[in-house]
Amino acid sequence: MTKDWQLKGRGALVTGTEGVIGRAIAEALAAEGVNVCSVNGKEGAEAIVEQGTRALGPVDILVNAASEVRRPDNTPADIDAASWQAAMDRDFELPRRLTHALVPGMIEAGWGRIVNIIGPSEPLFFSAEYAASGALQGWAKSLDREIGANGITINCIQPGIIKGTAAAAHYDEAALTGMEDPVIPFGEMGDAADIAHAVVFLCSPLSRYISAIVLPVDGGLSRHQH
Amino acid sequence: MAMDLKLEGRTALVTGASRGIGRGSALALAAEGVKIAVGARRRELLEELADEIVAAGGERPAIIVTPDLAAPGGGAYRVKDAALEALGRIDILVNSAGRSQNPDYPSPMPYDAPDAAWDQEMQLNYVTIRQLTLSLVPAMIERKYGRIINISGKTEPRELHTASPAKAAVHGWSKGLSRQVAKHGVTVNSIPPGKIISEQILRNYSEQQRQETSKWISSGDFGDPSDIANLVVFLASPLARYITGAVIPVDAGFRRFAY
Ligand SMILES: NC(=O)c1ccc[n+]([C@@H]2O[C@H](COP(=O)([O-])OP(=O)(O)OC[C@H]3O[C@@H](n4cnc5c(N)ncnc54)[C@H](OP(=O)(O)O)[C@@H]3O)[C@@H](O)[C@H]2O)c1
Repeated sequence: MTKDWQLKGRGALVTGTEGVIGRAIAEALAAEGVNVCSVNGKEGAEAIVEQGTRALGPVDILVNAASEVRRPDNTPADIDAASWQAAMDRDFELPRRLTHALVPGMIEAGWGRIVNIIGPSEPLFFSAEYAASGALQGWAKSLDREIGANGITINCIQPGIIKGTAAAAHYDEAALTGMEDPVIPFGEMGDAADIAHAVVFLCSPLSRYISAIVLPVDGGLSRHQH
Repeated sequence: MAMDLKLEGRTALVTGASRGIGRGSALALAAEGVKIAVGARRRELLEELADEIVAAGGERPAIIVTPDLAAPGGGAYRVKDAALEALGRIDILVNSAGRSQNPDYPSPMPYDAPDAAWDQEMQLNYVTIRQLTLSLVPAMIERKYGRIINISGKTEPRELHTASPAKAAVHGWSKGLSRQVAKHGVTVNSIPPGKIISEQILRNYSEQQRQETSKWISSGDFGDPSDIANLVVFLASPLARYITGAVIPVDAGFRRFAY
């Protein structure tokens, strides 16, 4: 039995498709009949929006998947302003700008979906990227207050440690999944498809009442209970 | 090529299925080809639900008339026995029997409310869920598949309610359990609903109170049980295998906390 997520014919802009997560998301949306414009997260917001609207016309769905928390080269003592800014630009400013550029069209259409792939809320080492993803959570919640009445939802997904990502390269899977107190309770790193399934669900009209949430898709990695 | 949720032929027990979110979840799971058992105290409402499922082309659910699950005495175990007798095994458990306020007391709960008022809410909204779940989990671990989905409540109490500590207990208990069973293919998640039109919401909120409350909901409207049920269906699927130990609000931005 197949599930109709009612996404056929919608237009989606997906950033970060050079990475495994972004690529899996673009493929999963396309499999639902969504017209997908995949863009590299390294371009500027204006160029991306232009590329997206040229390819799709109105953009119904924006998936910001260009950010990732990696172990930085610098330490808290020697991090310079430029690398601090680079993290904020990539993980907060780019998704924020893209969203603000596309929200007016979504308001006009009376429908829209914004899904942000962000870092975890539980820092395991020092990185400016944790600060950027914290900023994104606060911003997403506040934006929902303004746009939620227009059929638009905005949500964040926090992937755990996903196979094939730059972040996963920092970890030794055996050490994360050993039977004694496994760091990942699920016992394996996740697949990019696990994230993509959650994105498809959140983009569907069937999840219209889910907004301003932060959804961990992490095999139980995060510790907080809410 | 659309997505296959791989739910066909699986089995589910849904408590609180005579009304509201439980009823919506039962309808949605049945529509995906899940064989279900539905529990509540009012048989006639469960019969109506069963007729509706059959009329929609689904398989007739097993009906389990439950005792008062707010009363001590192991009612949860009787529900479990009846569900296993009807379905043979339970792959998916949706814990939706519950209430946000005790209808026998004013709201907020008076300072001098008897201990029994507190005990009843703990029994219904937490102890029953724990008993039912833990009695079904070992067989899920053995079969390497299980889904526990708790319909809990927002942990932002505005005043004194007997349900709030029980809902928080569900979240804390679920987290610990989820870490222990994750490697066996069993996930444990909780859904705190925002304001969803249901029997108790219609009982507790006047039309005017609903309008007032809607101002604090980003979408501007109360939700429908199907809004929760769609997430229940997704979480029940093998495609959601990597989501566990989570608290996933369905509330159109109603709660205050951002993180
Ligand atoms: N709707 C919301 O906006 C909202 C918000 C926050 C939390 N929740 C939570 O969501 C859950 C479902 O609520 P709902 O809004 O769907 O409520 P509802 O429409 O009132 O339905 C409650 C269900 O639980 C069963 N039930 C209630 N008390 C019971 C008892 N003492 N023993 C056995 N079964 C009992 C009822 O069946 P019988 O009466 O036939 O037994 C009914 O099927 C509850 O835990 C509630 O606290 C709901």
